[in-house]
Amino acid sequence: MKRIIKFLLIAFIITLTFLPAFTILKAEHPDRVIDEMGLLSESEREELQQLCDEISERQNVDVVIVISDVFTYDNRVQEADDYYDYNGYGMGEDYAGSLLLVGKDEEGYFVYITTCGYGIDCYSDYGIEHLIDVIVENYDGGNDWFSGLKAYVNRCDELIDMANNGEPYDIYYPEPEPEPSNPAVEAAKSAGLSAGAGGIAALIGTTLLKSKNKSVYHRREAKDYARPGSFNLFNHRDLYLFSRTTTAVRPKSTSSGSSGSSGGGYRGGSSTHTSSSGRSHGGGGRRL
Amino acid sequence: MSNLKQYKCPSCGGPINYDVTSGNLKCPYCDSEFEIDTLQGYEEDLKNTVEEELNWLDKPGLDWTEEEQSNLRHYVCDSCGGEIIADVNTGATRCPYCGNPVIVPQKFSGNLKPDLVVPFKIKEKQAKEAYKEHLKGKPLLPKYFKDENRINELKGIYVPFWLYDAEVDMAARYRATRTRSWSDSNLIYTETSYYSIFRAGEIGFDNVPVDGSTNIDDALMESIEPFDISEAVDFKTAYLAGYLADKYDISAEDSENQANQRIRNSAETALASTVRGYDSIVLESMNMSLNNHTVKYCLLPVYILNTTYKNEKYTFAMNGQTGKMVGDLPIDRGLYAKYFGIIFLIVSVITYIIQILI
Repeated sequence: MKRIIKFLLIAFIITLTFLPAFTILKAEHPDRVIDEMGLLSESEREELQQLCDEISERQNVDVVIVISDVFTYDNRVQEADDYYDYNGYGMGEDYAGSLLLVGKDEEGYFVYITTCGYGIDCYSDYGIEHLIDVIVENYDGGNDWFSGLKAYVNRCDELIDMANNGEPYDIYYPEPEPEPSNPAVEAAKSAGLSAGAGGIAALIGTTLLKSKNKSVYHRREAKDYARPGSFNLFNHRDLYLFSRTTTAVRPKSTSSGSSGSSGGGYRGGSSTHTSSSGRSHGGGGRRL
Repeated sequence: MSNLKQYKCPSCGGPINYDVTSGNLKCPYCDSEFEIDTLQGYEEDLKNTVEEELNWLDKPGLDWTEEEQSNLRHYVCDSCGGEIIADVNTGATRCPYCGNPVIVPQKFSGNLKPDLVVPFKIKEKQAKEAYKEHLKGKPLLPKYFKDENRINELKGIYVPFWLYDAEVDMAARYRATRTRSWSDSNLIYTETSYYSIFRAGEIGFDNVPVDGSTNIDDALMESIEPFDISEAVDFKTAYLAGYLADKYDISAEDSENQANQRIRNSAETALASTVRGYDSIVLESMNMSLNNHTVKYCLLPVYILNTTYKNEKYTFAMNGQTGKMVGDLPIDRGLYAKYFGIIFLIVSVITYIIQILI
């Protein structure tokens, strides 16, 4: 009996010792798909969650989706970063992963993707815009969020693969296959270009030569007959009336902070900023 | 019955009201704000115009005396209808306008006697040299034109001109802008300031010539300008010796529009040249009046050569006072194709070689 009591006591102590640790482990892996706006049915959310879990564990890079109308468009960068940092997301020592925030305000839906750790390398600024394009291409104008988000998650998996292979998806990726050069086609192109240049030059040259044969023109003015010194300005006034000031956005010479909302103009790579937790984040997003 | 002065906004044209807060006049439509003095000045400029008037008063020309008429012959060309005058000792054998050899002498009659004549200063030999010079440096000129024989058909002729003098009073309003830009870290600012500009002035023109003959192209005569009318002398039939003279067939009244337009354009240019220091200037209104205006009838010396090439008439004219030669020349299509081909070939080959080297 004493032995049984001793065993139970040891088991109880062991349980007490390790239970908090299990609880902490559980807290470090919260749900990877959270839908507070009901854009997904529960079965759809669970299917997406399983997909995110599988990819995140396999790649060791978190793939997280949070759908909520508590986020604001103006503060989306800080709110997405904080949500990621303070809810225990991120894999490994560098908290690798990404979080897709889907929010809504009076102007409609907006999305923002924050990246962290190795996730910054996996998702370049150009890659983030591409991922948002994937959602837009598949979510049927907002009628089928499940398809849009599923395509997004699968594309995340592929982008992580590309980064693992040393070629992250970026503005230079995929590199266009150089067209097989056909000497005959190249020669024809060069000949066409040369003939075009020759034709234009010949047209300009002969027009100049033709102008040498023309010397008769109507005269618009009679300035040759103005009496010297007769011009007299006897009244003049310059009256300031009013001013108008217009403004234009100054073009940015380098990318910094979060990315813009339109495609194009990327220099490649990921622009980063530091969140309130002190971690470095990449990211980008736009209104849908 | 209201004595209140109603101003209009210079920006949008809407009625403008007094703004109690700023003490200025403020437009309720476009929010532009003006000081009262500014608006008063602007309204004054709007009223400060001269009455539009552009008419000529004096009647030009004199009557021929019987002796003068007896010394002159009047020829009419059967082919082009051109009418020319020559003194009795100068036999006109060929129409100077169309080259037709059949011209019929008639009894001199009618038309005004010129007030002035500018005698020929350039001799026929110099004119022929100038014609040869005119043909040089024109690679597309048909060889036919370089034929020496054609030069012998060059004829000196006094062409009738109306000479207009005018004193011009003018007033103009312009809308001008100045623009400046600056920027901060986010935005580029562009400020455009609008100004109302008023200018009033006067300018005089002497002896603006307008060709009074339909036989000769106006553009051709304008192209050989200017003539120095200070060298003009009172007309005497003796100056016609050895030369032909055309009779005017467009009256001074019918020619005045041409003179008016040229004087107006030059007066506008002179006044506009005083508006400086702005990025854009747009003329809003211009009023002009001509005072002390006179018209004179004058014969001006011109050498003319007519020739036909491929059924098309080409006329060359030379200022018989200054030696300035003009005349459009035809293009030899064969030479044009040759030069086109040469330039095309050279540039194409060079471009091709550059592409290969790059």
